Amino acid sequence: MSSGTKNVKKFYLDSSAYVKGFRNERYSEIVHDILEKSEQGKLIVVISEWTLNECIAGLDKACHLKHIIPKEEMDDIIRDMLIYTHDYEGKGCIEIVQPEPGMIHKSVAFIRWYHLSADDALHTVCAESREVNALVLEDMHFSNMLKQPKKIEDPREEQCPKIQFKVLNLADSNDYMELQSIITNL
Amino acid sequence: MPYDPAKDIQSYVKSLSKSRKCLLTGKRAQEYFRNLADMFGFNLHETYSIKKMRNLPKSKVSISDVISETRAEKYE
Repeated sequence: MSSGTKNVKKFYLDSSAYVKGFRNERYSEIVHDILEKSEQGKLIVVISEWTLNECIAGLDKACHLKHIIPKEEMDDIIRDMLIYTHDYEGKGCIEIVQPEPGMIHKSVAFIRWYHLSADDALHTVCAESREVNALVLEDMHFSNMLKQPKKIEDPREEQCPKIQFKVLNLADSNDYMELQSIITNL
Repeated sequence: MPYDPAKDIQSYVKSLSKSRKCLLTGKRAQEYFRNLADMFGFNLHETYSIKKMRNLPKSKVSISDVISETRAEKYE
């Protein structure tokens, strides 16, 4: 995967999407499709270290605070996710962005103009930094904030940084169909 | 020329995209995953198959819901 990857589509998976690759739940089938296409070299999956941390935190919360999954299941999912990510990063199918201080600094602009949480602004900069074609997620708030940022009265509106990628929310049927069509045609 | 944050960010991310310096890769990635494997107590030489996962029954519990609920609290 290290050569000839210039025109390969890149998909940034945030934690709400990536975690679905390692268990079978709602919309997992399309995330499995994305991961299998990346194994075949037809696309590159981009995540960040922050994606992995959020997945682990979500699993930990589901187990220890909400008691909706047993510890054995949490351990299995974390193990599978880390083993798979390690394996396919090594094969060039997955890129893991390691946020550097400059990215944290620049992400403030996305908080300023898109009213994102600090975490979601960091995902946005991570996705931008790899020039991804789409950000895939299952999160109505984050998705809506990026698609339709709440307008604020500010004469410097032209300073709002433009998002260069598509936002595809798995819970939105149009987005789902669009993603399915992109994946099928790769 | 006045400072333009939008252009500033776009040229910054463009410069990052041209390099691999902000990617976790090579020896750093090996060390990162080795540390996590030690922390969670598993062996990195095990394997995981998407095909096998597809055949398991679908869970009604969504971990994505837990993740997005946590995030939603930040927008309330």
